[in-house]
Amino acid sequence: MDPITAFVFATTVAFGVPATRPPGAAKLSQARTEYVLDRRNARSDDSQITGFNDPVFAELLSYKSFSDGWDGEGSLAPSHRDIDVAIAFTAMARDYLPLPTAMISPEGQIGLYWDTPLAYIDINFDVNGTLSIYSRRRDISKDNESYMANQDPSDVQTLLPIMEVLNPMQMAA
Amino acid sequence: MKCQDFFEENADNPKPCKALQKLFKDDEATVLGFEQSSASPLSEHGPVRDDEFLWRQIVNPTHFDVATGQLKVTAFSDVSDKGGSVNRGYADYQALVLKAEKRVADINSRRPDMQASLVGLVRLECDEVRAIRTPPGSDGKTLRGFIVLDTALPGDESHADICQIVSQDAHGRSVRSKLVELANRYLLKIREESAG
Repeated sequence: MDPITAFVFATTVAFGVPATRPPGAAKLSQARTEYVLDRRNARSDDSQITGFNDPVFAELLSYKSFSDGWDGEGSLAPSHRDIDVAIAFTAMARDYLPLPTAMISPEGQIGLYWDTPLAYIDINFDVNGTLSIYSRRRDISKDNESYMANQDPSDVQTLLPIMEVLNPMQMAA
Repeated sequence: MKCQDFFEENADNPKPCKALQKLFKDDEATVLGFEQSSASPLSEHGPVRDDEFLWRQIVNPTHFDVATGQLKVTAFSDVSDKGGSVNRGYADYQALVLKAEKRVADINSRRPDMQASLVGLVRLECDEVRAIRTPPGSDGKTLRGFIVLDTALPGDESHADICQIVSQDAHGRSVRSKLVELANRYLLKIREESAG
């Protein structure tokens, strides 16, 4: 097992990633590879589905080396716990969703995002241990933005609104 | 309150956009009116007009997804607090590239571990930045997301700032994601630009 896979596996165990799937997720059991319009999935392969060797995990781990000032004056180092929570969340999400891209703000806030022709979604891991989700659908022009705060990053139900935005037609089927 | 007075009062505030957001909640008209005058006494070209271009350096690979060639929304995080630095369209492009390269060299001399590199310059259109709005609230009202201010600096007369004026996290996330969407449309990567 490579070091990144070993770390991510240990982190998901530590954060108790649930084995059960959320209601409605069953129909997405094979959907991850069917998000053909997703830029990142367009280059996914079997190793990303079975392992933890997608660049998103390596990038999240790399943020642990960031110290204050990493992005210029006033920028802050991230919380290692937030990084671990983000890794565990991503490991949980990868069974249901295309893999996201990692990001870090100059204030040290960890985030993930999906940017597809159908939708933009970003997640921030907030200081109180919860996460917030902002999403904007591109396939409709009215009431196409939503925001949810105080979501539990270890609850698989948190993935449902993301699934609904990333693939509304499949969820409605 | 006049624009210059506001910025003089906040001269030592590292996050003047937070102060703008607070003022905007109480007095939208005053904050929007700041665009009609210069924030800096050094200005020679006056307030930033709607029909101007705005150049933004993209220097940090941390805020750029190499796999997709797209900026991350964190590339514009500074618009929400200290202000997003841009240069006005009349600035010389080659001089801006040299300045950006110098900035990269400075970062790498201080923090070689960051391995900073110059991705390119974004050429935003001011009226498009000013047109970005929040989604409608329960009353159907939408809010301007940003103001663009003339903030001329010593030795950098064409300097301007994009300042987020909405304060709610939901609104900030909405308008910044739209700003980055614009920026991704107008990103000129340095290698491509040089080759042209």
